[in-house]
Amino acid sequence: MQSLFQSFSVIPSPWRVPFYAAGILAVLLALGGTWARVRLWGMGRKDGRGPLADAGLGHLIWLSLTKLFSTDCLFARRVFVRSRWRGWMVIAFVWGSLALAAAVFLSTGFYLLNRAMPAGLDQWASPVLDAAGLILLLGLLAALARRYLFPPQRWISVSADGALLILFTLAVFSGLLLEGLRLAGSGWEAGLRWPVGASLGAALNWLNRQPEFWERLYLATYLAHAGFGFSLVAYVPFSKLFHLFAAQITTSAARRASFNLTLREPHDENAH
Amino acid sequence: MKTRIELSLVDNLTPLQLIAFDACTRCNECLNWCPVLDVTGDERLTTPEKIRIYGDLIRARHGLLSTLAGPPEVENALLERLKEALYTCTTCGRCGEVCEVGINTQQLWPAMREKLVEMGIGPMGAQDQTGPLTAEYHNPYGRPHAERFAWLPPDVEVAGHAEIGFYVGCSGAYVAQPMVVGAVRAFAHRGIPFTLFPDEWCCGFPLFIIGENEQVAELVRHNVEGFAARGVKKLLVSCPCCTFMLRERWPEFYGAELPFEIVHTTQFIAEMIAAGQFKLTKSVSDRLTYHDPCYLSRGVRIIDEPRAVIAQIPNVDFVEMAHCRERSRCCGAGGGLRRCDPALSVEMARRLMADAEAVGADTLVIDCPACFERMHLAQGGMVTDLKIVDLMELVSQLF
Repeated sequence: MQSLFQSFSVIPSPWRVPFYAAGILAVLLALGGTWARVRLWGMGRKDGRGPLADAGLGHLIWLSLTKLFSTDCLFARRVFVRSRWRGWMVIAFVWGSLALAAAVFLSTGFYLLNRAMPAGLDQWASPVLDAAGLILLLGLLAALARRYLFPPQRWISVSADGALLILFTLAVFSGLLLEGLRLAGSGWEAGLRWPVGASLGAALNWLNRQPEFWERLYLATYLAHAGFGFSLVAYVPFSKLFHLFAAQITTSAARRASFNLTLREPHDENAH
Repeated sequence: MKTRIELSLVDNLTPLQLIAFDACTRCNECLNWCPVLDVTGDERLTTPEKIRIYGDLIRARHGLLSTLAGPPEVENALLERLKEALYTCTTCGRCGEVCEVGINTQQLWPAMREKLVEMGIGPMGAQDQTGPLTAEYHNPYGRPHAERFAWLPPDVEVAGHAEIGFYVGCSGAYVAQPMVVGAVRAFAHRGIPFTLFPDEWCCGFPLFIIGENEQVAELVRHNVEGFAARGVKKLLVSCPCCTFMLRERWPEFYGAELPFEIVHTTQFIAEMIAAGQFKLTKSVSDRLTYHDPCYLSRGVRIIDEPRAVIAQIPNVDFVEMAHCRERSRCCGAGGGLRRCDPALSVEMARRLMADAEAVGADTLVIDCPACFERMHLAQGGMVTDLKIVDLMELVSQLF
C-alpha cells in the first residue's frame, strides 16, 4: 500500500513544480469563482420580508455548509417524492462525494502534519472510501445514461452540463482505476480492505503485462486523475454544479410544516 | 443588435431568490408539470431556461468583469427569448411546488418581469394595456368604474361601517358576478353585517404580475385607507389573486402592516361551518369535482377549506381530479397570459376541463373569478356537458 505521502512521490521530480502549480491554480480558481458567485447572494434587497430576507452573507454561507447535512439533502427527500430512480442517483452523488471529500480532507490533514494516519482509522476508512468511489461512479453513470441514452420525454439542457458530467465521471473513474493499478497483484488480503480496488486490480492482473507497462500506466493514470480532478475543482464555481453550495439553502427554506410529501404520478399521459 | 444592461438586476430580489439562480440543478422535473408546455411543447419557455438565462445575466452584470470593464452588452435575441419565456407563463407556481430544490418560482417570476419592464423589454403583447386601463378606469378590463357594483343584489343590505369588509375585486365585479353575488348572499343569509368600499380600485395584482409596479402603491394606499375609514378589521376577499396580493404584497407597497386582517371568503365560510354557524341544507344530484386555483392553493395555501365547504353539502358525490391540491393544473388565466396569448390560455382551460371530465364529474366547482371567466370562454368552443360553477355561487343556492 502506498500512503498519500508515497503517492506524491510517483511524480517525476521535474514535473513536481508544474504539478503543484496546477493544483494551486485549480484551488485558487475554485476559491475565487466561489467567492465571485457567493458575494452575489448578499446583493439583494434586505427589507425583512420573506424567508432569509435579513440574512447576511456570513449567515448564508453558514447555511450552505450546515444544511448540506440536513435530512432533506442527505436523504434526497424532495427528489424521492418525484422519482425513486433519481432519488437513489442523488443519494449516490451526495454520500459518495461526502465520503470522498472527507477522505481527502482527512488524509491531506495528516499529510500536512507529516504524520501517518492512525492504523485503526485507516483500516476502518479504507473499505468505506473504496465503496464510496464505486457508489459515486454508479450515480454518475446513471446520470450519463439518463442524459444520453434514456433522456426524459421533456428535456432541456446545455452542452456544458454534459461536459461537466463527463469530466466528473472521468475524475472518479480514473481514481478507481488508479486504485486498481495500485492494488494489482496485492493478493486476497487487500480485498478485505479495498474490495472494489482489489477486484479491479485482480482483473488488471489478467492482462499479464510487464512491470514497466504497469509503472507507465500508473503514472499516466495518476496524471490523468490529477488533471481531471484539478479541472473539476476549478470548473465547479463556473458550472451548474455550483448548486451543491446553494440547493441546500433553498431546500431548507422550502420545507414547510404543511408540505405534503406524497408520491404521485408526475406525468400526464395526455400531455402533448 | 445588443443592449447594454446598466440597471441593477438584483436590487428587487431577496437573498433567497438570488440563491435560487445557483440552486437550480436543471433536473427538468418541472417540465413534467408545466401546463404551458403541455400545450406549446416548447421547452425553451420553461423554468430551467428562465433561471439559467437570468442567472447568467446577473453574473454578467454584477460579476467581477462588469466591475472592471463596465456593464455588459447582451444580444437582443437573448433578451427577447427571456421575455418570451417569462411572459408565456401563467405564474401558476406548479414548477416551484415540485421543484426538487424548493425554488419558489411563483414569487420569483414577477420580480424578474419587473426588471424586463425597467429595461423597456416587458411586458408582452396586449399586456401593455393593463397600466393605461387601470390608470383610467381603476380596473384592468377598461370597464366603467361606475358599474363596479352593478352586480349588487338590491335585497342585500350593505353597512356603511362594519368590522367586516368585502373586497370585491375587478374580476368579480366585471366578469364573474355570480361569484361575488353568491358571497354577499352567503353573508346576508347569516346576517353578517359587512361593508363595501364604493370607490374600490384594482388591488394592483394585474400590474404587479406583469412587472409594472409604478401605480401599485397608489392603488394599495387608496384601498387600504378606504376600508380602514369604514372601520374594517377583517377584510374578506373572494379572488385568489387579490387574496395573495393583499396578504403577501400590500404591506410592502403600503409601507406598513395593514390595519385589518385578510381572509378569503371560503376560509370565512369554512370557519363558520366548523363553528356550527353555517349549514347547507339542499343537496345536488351532480357529481362534483373541485379545481384548486393557483394563487389559492400554491399562493396562500387555502386547500382544505373549499373541500370542507363542499363536504357540507348533504349526500354530496365528490371526486378529486388527478391533478389537485398543491399540484393542481392551471386554467391558463393567470400571469397576464390571457392578454398576451389568449388562444394558449383558452387551450389550457380546455385541458383542465378535460381532467374534470376524465373523472366523470358533471360539475366543475371553482373558487376564482379568473378561472370562471377563462373556463366559460373555453367552454364556448367545446362539445361538453360539464357545468362550471363557482363555490360561492353553489353555496348561495344550497341554504
